[in-house]
Amino acid sequence: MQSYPHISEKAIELDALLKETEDPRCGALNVFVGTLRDHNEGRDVVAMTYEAHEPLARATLQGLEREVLESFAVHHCRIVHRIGRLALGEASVAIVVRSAHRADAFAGARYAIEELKKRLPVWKQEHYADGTSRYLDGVPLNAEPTP
Amino acid sequence: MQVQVELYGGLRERVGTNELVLTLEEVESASVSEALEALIAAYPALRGGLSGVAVAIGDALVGRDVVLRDSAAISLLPPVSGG
Repeated sequence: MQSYPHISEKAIELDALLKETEDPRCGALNVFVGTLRDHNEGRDVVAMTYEAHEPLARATLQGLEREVLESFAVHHCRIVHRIGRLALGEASVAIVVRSAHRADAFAGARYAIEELKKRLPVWKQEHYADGTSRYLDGVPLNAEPTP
Repeated sequence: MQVQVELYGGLRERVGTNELVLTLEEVESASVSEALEALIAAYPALRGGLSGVAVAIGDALVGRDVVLRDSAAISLLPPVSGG
């Protein structure tokens, strides 16, 4: 079965991710979904455009999935991120972790989202109710001195 | 030599394009660092804007000391904000 794409412009289909990771060995399923909220730093947000460096983003998510599998007692970890323009309430990221017991699924999913925020080459452009937009500040991927 | 430069996020907004070709005169190779200096010289809007910017070739991040040859393609990745 072909695995669900790590990066896609299409709406995230949770059902497909759940089906892909079904496993009778697992008694715990932890799903984290990040959705677009209507406010940020005191401003009314109406939409968000997500942009990725796709080759590096795919490699980063594959690596992070492997890392979760190796670092926690989990059987499955899938991490997918949406790109393009999203409306309020739409899912931008989904993480599915399955393990025998709940503590590992919680820990693995938490690790995945925290690391994703530091490592995934994705940028957000926030669109506001007043018609303006701006790129959000972020986390440097690596900190080397710049000219 | 020429280097193809791909820009992401706020960098694209600063320069007004997501892709450009940088020409470095009279050299056959240049470090990433040298290419970035030449880029700032050619696009002053980038001055001060490369702080915290990472550089990728293909699907890997590279250091500032990596040597580029003619027709190399690099991506400039500003601080990230995924999730």
